This record gives sequence, structure tokens and C-alpha cells, in this order.
Amino acid sequence: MRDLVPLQMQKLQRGRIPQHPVHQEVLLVRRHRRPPWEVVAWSFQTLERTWVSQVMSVSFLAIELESRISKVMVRGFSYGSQRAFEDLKQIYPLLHKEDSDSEYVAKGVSYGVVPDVPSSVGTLGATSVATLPVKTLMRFKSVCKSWKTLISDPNFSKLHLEKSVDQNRTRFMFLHDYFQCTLAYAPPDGTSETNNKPINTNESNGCVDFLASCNGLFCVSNAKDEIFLWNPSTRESKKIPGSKIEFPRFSNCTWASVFFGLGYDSTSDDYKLVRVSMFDTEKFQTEVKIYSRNNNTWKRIRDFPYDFPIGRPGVFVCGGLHWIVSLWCNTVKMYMIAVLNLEDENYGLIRLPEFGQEVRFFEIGTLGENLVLFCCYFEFRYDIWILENYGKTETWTRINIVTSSLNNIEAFVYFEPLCLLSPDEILIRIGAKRFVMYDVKSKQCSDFLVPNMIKESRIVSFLDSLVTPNV
Amino acid sequence: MVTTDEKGPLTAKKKSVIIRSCDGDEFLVSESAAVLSTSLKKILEEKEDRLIHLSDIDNKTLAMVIAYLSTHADDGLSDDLKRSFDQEFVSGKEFDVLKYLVLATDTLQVTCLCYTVAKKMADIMKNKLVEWVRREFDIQNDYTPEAEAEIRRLDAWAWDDRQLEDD
Repeated sequence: MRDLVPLQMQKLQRGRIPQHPVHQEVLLVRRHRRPPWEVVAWSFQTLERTWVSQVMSVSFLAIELESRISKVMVRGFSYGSQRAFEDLKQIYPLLHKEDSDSEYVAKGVSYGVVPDVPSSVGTLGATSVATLPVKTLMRFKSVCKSWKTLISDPNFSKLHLEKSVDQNRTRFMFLHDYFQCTLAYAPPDGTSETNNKPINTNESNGCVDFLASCNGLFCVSNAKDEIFLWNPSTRESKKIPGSKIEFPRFSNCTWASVFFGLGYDSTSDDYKLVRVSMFDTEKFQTEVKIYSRNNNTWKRIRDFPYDFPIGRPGVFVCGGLHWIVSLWCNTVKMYMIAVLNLEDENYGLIRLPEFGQEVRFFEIGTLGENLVLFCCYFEFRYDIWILENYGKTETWTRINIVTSSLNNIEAFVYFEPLCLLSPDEILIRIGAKRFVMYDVKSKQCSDFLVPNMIKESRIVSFLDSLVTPNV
Repeated sequence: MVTTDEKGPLTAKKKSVIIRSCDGDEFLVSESAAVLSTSLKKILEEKEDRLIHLSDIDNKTLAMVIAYLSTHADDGLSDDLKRSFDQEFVSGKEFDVLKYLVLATDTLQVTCLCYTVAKKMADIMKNKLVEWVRREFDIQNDYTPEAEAEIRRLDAWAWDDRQLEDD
């Protein structure tokens, strides 16, 4: 019998196919004009035949192949079979040419784990490593070189972020006096830590102003108005280049109110900081600039078409940054949500829900991966509205927060949902000092203790993540 | 009467699958349980074969996965009961057992169980010493002592305030 391994295959094996502990194989059928036919599986790793069988009839051939392939498929599908089959397409013609008397039908290739994952992690499953908190991963960089490479890999950081979302690994940043940021883990993890000197912003005594955050990456500025990207979980930070505000020509305007938003553009795998400057001129004028983390440059885009984003930094969800804006519609002032899509840099509008009564205060935020609007009516009743069907025909679903089960509830105006503790449990801040867990199913509120909480400070919830400010 | 007698065993047979582990043990599993694994579902959709051979999952691990699948396929159990079953399922299991389980669930694509096991493993690992990880995964330390010290120095804060465990 001729040796079935052609030289080209060896080249491919060396050049392109990663070595893994799990065996990889290509399955071939040598189909002569007459039976018996041979079914052969080759291992890419050892270049040895792992399995040979002779079959006498077409139906037997089919059965042999099916049973073999289903096994191969089990592995192939679970570990990115798409790539495997693309490689197979390249290998197949080479084999095909090799022997003209008989026909080879290559039927399947299986790979081990995703390329770039070290074998020691591969055997354990990258999933469980990606489920670890960032602090542990920082220590595990010193396990060996390949673990360090893995933990620093941008793709691993994406997988880790997914797991952080899945597990609600939320932490809180307490901002008080602009002088100290204090970090604390949120429940249900239970553990907590404080960190009073999180960022070195050069000669500013750690004094920082919070501008925006997204996926665990923060944007802060110091007393000199220098802007930094900072990941509090990994403690990496980077000063980003400044960009002058271009004031409108032919005006005496020297003052602008500036708003920020930080978001992620999945098409370019880039984090983008948006700065909206609203000028203090008679005519409504703005300037919008976007900073790209990957390019480390600013560029100006189309001006902000709506009036004055009020309040807080842009809220990032579903590929866009959201602000509440006001519009004049036949002498009636109305509010809407403006969207800046980070992929195509276009603006859009989303209607607010019909409140049905007078609203005292409202604001937007995120819960899980949804955009939410929370509001307080007169008589101190609270609602959370969840935006569903984003990007299609958007609808608002109302969750009325029933506070009757709470003792000594004071008439607080301030009210903010912070995060989901589980799919049915929302952690809410009411007033400056009180945390409440709201169970959506049973409609019950109960007091909640947040470890290391600093009362009367602003709270930003964020995810434990490996997202790096540097590229 | 004859028809019902014939129908009984036939339908029962049709609704179950035999899964064979790499060490040759065979498990009879209801189809409704088997299809909770995306990989098994694909196999069953593609062919009529009622015997599935899994060449890289041993009998102990397979038995555990099947216990999980059967519990989750049971319509008589409430979601709360299933959730508490999940918690008990992973609690008290040796790290070694979990390692095999996470691989098996990955191969069989039982996403929920894979997450639960991965989370349990992460809970065990998160406060462990680096030396423990090397031992458990049989990893050779390929750093020079200087290089290792340098890496530890860069992220010194991550080492500061915890009681790290070695067992």
C-alpha cells in the first residue's frame, strides 16, 4: 500500500496547524473502482494513521463514515469547526492529485482547542480561567510564560468580559469629593476591597474627575484637565493626547459645556471617547470629537444636532452612546434620547415612554445589557422603564417599584437602579444612603448592605474586566 | 391488546439513546435528556443511530453528565429545584473531577453545566497560590527567578492583602 501522507500535508502541518493535546485528524476514503474501499483517518500531530477500516459495500461505507464523522463532529463543532473545514478545503485538492487510480474523499477534520490557548489551559478549558476575577489573573501571569501571553491576549479579554457580564461581576466606584476614588466589590461576590490610590495622574494628588466609563474602562481627568483612560481592575492607565476645542469662528464665545461618553465599537474592536462641546452662543452650535484608543488620535465628526445633553455621561448600550436631549416641537419643549452610533457615527432619536403623569425627575442608565429609564413622579413613586427591541420597533416595559414593604421610607427624590444582582433582582439606590434590592417577581423591596459603602458619594457601577487602555 | 404490547416497548425504545463511554460502559438515556447537549442533538438529528460512542469521556464523568441531563429534562421538577440541584451537583467535588467535567461538558456542549462547573473551578482557584496552579495543572515554570520576581513586582498590588491558599 502506498504511503498516504503526501509531503504537502507535512508542510501544512508544520506551518499552519497548531499543536494541541487533543488529537486532530483528517478522514479519507480511498474509493477504488471496486470494493473493498478503505476508510482512513490521519492524525495531524503524529502523521500516523489512527484508524483504518475496509468496507465492502456502499451502505457499510456510509455507516462507517457516519459513525466516525459524528465523533469527529462532536469535537469539530465544539472547537471552531469552521476553520477546520476551511483548512480541509486546502488540503483536499493536494491529496486528490496524489493518486489518480483511486479517489479520496476527505470528510472531516477535527481540531483541539482554540488556537493560541496554551495546552495547560486547553486541557482545563479556557472558560474556567476566563471566569476568574482580574486580581487573580494578575497573579496567575506568573504561573508560566504561556499563561501570561493568554491573560494579556485581547481575545481572552473579550471572553473574560463576556463571563463578567454573565456572572454580574459588578463592582462599585464611590466618588466623593473628587479626591478619592474608593473601590468596592459588589455582592453577590461578598468580598470587598478598598483602594484609595487607584491612579497615578501626575502631581494631582490623585484628584480625579469622572468623565465616562464602559466595560470596566474609565475615562477620568485630573486638576490640569489632562485626560486618562484607566482600568481600575488591572490598574493600567494611559494619558491620552489633548485636543483643543475649536470655538466657533466670528464669535466671542470662550466658554463651552463639555460632555463625554465612552463606548465600544465592535466592528473595529476599538474603544472610543466622545466629547461633545456645546457653545455658549446665541445660535445653537456644537463641536463633537472622537478619540480612538487604537489609533490614539482625535477626529472631528458631524456636530451634535440636538440641544444640550443634560446631566450625566453618555450611556453606552447596543453599540451606541445615549444622552437625554431636549427638542422644541411647536413651542413645546420635549425630551428624547439621542443616540450616537459608534460604528457609522450617525445620530438618531428614541422616544421616551408615555409617563401618563407628571415626572419629577428622570435619567437613563443600563441594567444588564438593556437601556433603562428611571424616574420619580410627584408623591415619590418610582418606575424603571426597560427599552426592549432595540434598533427595531422599540418598546418600553414598565417596572413599578413598590416600596411599601420598606420601613421608614423617606420621601427621596433621588433614585437610581445600579445593577442586576440576578435576572429578577435589581439593586437600587434610594436617596444618598439607602440601598434596596427589588425582586421583580414578588414585587418586594428589602434593604441591602453594600460592603465598604461610602455614603453620600456618587456611585458608578462597572464590570471587572481586562480591557486595556493601551493597545 | 397485541398492538399496545407491541407499541409499548417500541416507543420506549425510540425515545431513548445509548451512550457509550470511552471505557465501554453503556448508558441508557432518554432522548429528551440527550438533546439538552447540543452535540448529541446534532448527531441525533443527522442520523437514526441510537448508539453514540464518545471516545474521550470516561464512565464516571459521563455518569455525572447524564445525571445532570436527566434531572434537567424532568418536567416534573421546578426551576428552583433544578437550581439547587446544580449547586449541590458541583459542591464538594474534587478539583480533578471538575477538570474532567468541564472538558466533557465542553465537548458535549452542555452550556449551562459548563458554566456552573467553570464557576466552581474559578471559586476554588481564585485564592490559590501560583505554585498550587502549577502543581494542579502539571505546569513547568519557564521563568527565570529574576523574570518571575519582575512580573510579580509589576502587579505587586494583586498579591498584597489576601490569605493565599496552597491546598
